[in-house]
Amino acid sequence: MTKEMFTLKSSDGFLFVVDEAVVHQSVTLSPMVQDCAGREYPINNVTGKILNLVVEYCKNHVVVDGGDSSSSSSSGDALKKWDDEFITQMDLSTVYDLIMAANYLIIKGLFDLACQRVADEIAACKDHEEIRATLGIVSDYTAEEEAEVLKENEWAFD
Amino acid sequence: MDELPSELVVKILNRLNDSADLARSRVASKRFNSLWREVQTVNLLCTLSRYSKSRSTSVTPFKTVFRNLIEDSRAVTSVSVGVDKALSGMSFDDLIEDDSDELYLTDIEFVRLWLPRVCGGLEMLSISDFWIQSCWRRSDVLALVSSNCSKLVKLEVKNAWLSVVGLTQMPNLRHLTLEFIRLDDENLEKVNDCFPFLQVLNLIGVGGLKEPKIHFLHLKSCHWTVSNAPLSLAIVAPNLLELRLKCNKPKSLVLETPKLVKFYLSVENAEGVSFSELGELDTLEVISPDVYRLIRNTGFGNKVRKLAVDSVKLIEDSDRLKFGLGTLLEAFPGIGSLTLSHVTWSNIKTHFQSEGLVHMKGTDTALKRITARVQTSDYTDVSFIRSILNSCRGLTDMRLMIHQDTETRVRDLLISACTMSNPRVRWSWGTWVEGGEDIWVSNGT
Repeated sequence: MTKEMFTLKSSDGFLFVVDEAVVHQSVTLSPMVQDCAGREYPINNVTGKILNLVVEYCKNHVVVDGGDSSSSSSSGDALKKWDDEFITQMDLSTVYDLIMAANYLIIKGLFDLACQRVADEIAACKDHEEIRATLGIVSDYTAEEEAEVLKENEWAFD
Repeated sequence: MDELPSELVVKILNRLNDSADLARSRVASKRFNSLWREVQTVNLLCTLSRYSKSRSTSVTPFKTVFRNLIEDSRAVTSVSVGVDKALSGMSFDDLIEDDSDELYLTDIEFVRLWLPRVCGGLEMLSISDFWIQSCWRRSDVLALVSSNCSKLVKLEVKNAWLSVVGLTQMPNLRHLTLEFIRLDDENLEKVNDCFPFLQVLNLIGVGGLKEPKIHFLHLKSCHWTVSNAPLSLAIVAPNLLELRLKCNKPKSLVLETPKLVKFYLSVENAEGVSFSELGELDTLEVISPDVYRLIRNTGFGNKVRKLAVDSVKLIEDSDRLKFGLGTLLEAFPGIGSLTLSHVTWSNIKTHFQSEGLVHMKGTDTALKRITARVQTSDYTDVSFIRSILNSCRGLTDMRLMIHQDTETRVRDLLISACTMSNPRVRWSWGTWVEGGEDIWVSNGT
């Protein structure tokens, strides 16, 4: 049985040819399997750069059929390791785009992975200045407002 | 970050494990400060540094910080409040006022102040109390939780003295953990009654029990470490799949768990142990000086594929040794993988040296892999290994960890003697040390 291939088109015109197993990982795209084989399917709010990463993630997460149960825990570890490397090597602005893409395409594993990356970055910062620097946020507090919020949350600073 | 819509920012904030991380992020941006109340988890831990600070400077008391978080949050489904493990090592002398309530978290008066605000939607609750302040007074917190938190799915209480008076049914509870608890429910009757749909039960260091019986129709996983009194224990759980049990010298231990697949058992004296046939058992780990009696007396079934044995007590007098490798293989004919502690290895080697490899069925054992910790100082392991490989023709995978303190010369001799004389086998080598991590070295080196 030959695999059906599908063509996804990013907002900036890049084409990605993927198979059914990849498409099914996106709840949004899954229905297209019925009617889009052979035609280009436009994904209007995801750029080629990000769609490339999404496809890479999905290709790695295709469930292998008939896997032997004794190897599943080690392949589970290997997959986790791949996920960690995949998400850690990206800069945060790419991660934000990935969050939005995974949200739109409804790919739960990728969405959770990307959100967790940002959460972990926040948790690793020891104070608000470090959080701003790491996440690329500009403070919109006035000096008085900041002092007030800081006092209210003083207990959280070691 | 600004392009992310608010609902996605909330989802990110929801993944912060600690409310202190959330609090610091509030100071970073107005946006976080406007969204923090939507976070569904309140997770506050009193660390040693926070405790020490509170002794000397005037900081907001821990309980006040916690109550404020609860008060201001809008959609809490999970609450975790506790005292860091590091504080549990403190003695009474370390405290200035040992009757303080400052960190007494299962105090019913304290819980009454915040639980009503969140109990409607609460799905997960964890309270790790401060033993020094909680151990000498009994708390009715279980009754309060049961009558107010109808949606609770997971409950965890640690380091407290709990009463079960007034405890009512919690049909939604699936997961219960009680750790270092003095429980006034001698035979676990109330616990059995009030959590009828429980799937996971962890009773770790629970005292106050006399003849405890765990009886749950839907239980799938159980972890029970029993304190030292020689109690009668019983587990009746027709759907239990995984059991971790650690006990000492139970007067009687009865298991009715016909569907058990994974069993990790640690027992000092197995005289009172009896179970009905564990016909589905696939994985078995036994830590006991009484392994021989266990194997002789109990029906572990024929489907065990993975076996690990730690016989705990080193026996050097071969007359006192009752079992060797053959005994294990005869009792568990279907195992593919065998893991041995250094004591077990040493004991069966001593048995081999006096009896040879007896009761070995020869070429038809299913055994494929042996993993063992070895403490060697001489050549005897080589001939033992050679005999094993000759008898178990299906064995293709030997994974041996040599004690860290072994002389390099001895270690190298052992490795080269084994790998040269047994070419069909894949060898993996590593080192081990008591209390340390095992280190695997790649094959051959």
